[in-house]
Amino acid sequence: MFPNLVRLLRYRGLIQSLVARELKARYRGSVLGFFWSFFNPLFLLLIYSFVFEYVLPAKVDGLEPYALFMFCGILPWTWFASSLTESSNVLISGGNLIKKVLFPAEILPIVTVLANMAHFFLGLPILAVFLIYYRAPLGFPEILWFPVIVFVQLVFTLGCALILSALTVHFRDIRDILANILTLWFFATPIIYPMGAAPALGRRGLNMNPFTHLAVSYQEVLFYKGDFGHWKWLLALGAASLAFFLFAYFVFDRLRDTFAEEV
Amino acid sequence: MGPVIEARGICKSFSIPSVRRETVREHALDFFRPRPHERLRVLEDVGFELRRGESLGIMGRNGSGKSTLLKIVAGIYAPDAGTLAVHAPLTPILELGVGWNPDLDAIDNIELLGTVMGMSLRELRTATQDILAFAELERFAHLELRHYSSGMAARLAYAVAFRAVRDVLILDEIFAVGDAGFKERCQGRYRDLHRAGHSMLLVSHEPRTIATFCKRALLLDHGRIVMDGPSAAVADRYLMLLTEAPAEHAPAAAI
Ligand SMILES: Nc1ncnc2c1ncn2[C@@H]1O[C@H](COP(=O)(O)OP(=O)(O)OP(=O)(O)O)[C@@H](O)[C@H]1O
Ligand SMILES: [Mg+2]
Repeated sequence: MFPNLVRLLRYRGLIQSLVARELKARYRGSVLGFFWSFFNPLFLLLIYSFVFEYVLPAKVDGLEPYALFMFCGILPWTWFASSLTESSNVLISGGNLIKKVLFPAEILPIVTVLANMAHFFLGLPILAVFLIYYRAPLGFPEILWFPVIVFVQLVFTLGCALILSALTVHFRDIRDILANILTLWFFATPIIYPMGAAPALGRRGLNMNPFTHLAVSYQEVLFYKGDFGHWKWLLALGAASLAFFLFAYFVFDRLRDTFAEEV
Repeated sequence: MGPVIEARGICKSFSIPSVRRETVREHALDFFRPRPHERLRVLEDVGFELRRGESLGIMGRNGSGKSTLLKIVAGIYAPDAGTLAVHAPLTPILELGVGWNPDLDAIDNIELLGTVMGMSLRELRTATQDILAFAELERFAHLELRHYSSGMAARLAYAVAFRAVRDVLILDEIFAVGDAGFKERCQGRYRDLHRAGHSMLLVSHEPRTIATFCKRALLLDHGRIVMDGPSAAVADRYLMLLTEAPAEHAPAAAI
């Protein structure tokens, strides 16, 4: 397992080229291409702003402006959910690569997660503009936690993507189950409602959900005033995610030999 | 110098698709009621060696296990039994254009195909113009691949593949590409590689190809090596096999 992990380093060039071509193909070389990558999150944010200011004015104390609060959680959630959805299919759709060429299969889910991370990064300038526009209380030392949160999410998402892609080769219906799990998971995460709104019992349940701590961390760093009080949870999640990633890689590695025959 | 590839007693079988379990539901049901596992034997006790600098042909009817053998040699499938020793870096070309993206242009696709086949980005930077020149597609360098004719796309893939060859070349019947002129140059390139000392493993159904490019060849039938000898003799025997049992199409025995 560990030699294989080290071997991945040699495939940096391949990973880089696959991620770049994936992005390029999605925003196909046109002048408007990169514009769309900005426009989609912008459009989402404008819709939220419009709905929650004029259609359904939700005045929850401390959540002003609500659209911005929601956007802080939705942007990373989109990265997470699309990574999982795409990677559940990636070994099957990339079957030809696994059957006909020799390279480590884990590259495919890794590329999926990284490409979606790039989309996430492309949405950040929009978020930044709105944060400045609304004069969000961004503190200087606090903002340094942001890359840490992104890194924890990356490790956690990679772990999920590895396990999911490997298991889907043997259990094809995971793809259908996954869509429902993700819907449920979304509502079980404080993204469209604040953590504080949950009753004590519910809060204990929410704490069991790893993505809660990512969402709350993003919200505390970007949206709420005051210190980043959630850092202990974040670091604990980081350690757990690292362990989970190694476990996921182990599972993937054990199933590796079956992929070429099954896909 | 010893051989570059030594295979001894390679066996391989697959579970037959109809009894494969592919969903959570099937696995859950079968947990209580295990179904017998039927397996299809595709290779049985296959052994051969490829000497350094040699070009070895493999012939056999459809479904006799040629591609499976190449995949085992390339490390894509794990054999059920047997030993395999490979003493040089391999470049398997089992299909042309694996991994290309029809929405991107030739330059990008050269990078995709090349990195997928194990070339580094630095190597590719210098090789891109050569590859375009070999494929005679410089004029179309910025055309998206889905606007290419299938022959042009295949030429591009071929040009990348030939450039990516490291030491041992493994080819699965992909000689019939492009028009006569391009075929000519591919065969020329193949001879150059051979002359430069690369070892090769070549699967083809074309007796003439095998007889021209290989001194020695193997004949696979029903997953066993039935002949190992001079390529012209193997090609003759292969043609006889075809006429002997034309109706029989069952590839290998089920057990
Ligand atoms: N992944 C797989 N799962 C199940 N059966 C397989 C798998 N791969 C190959 N087979 C079976 O193995 C047998 C040999 O296949 P193989 O592709 O090696 O034949 P081949 O000699 O290359 O034939 P062709 O001349 O048509 O290319 C076939 O019966 C095929 O159905
Ligand atoms: Mg074949």
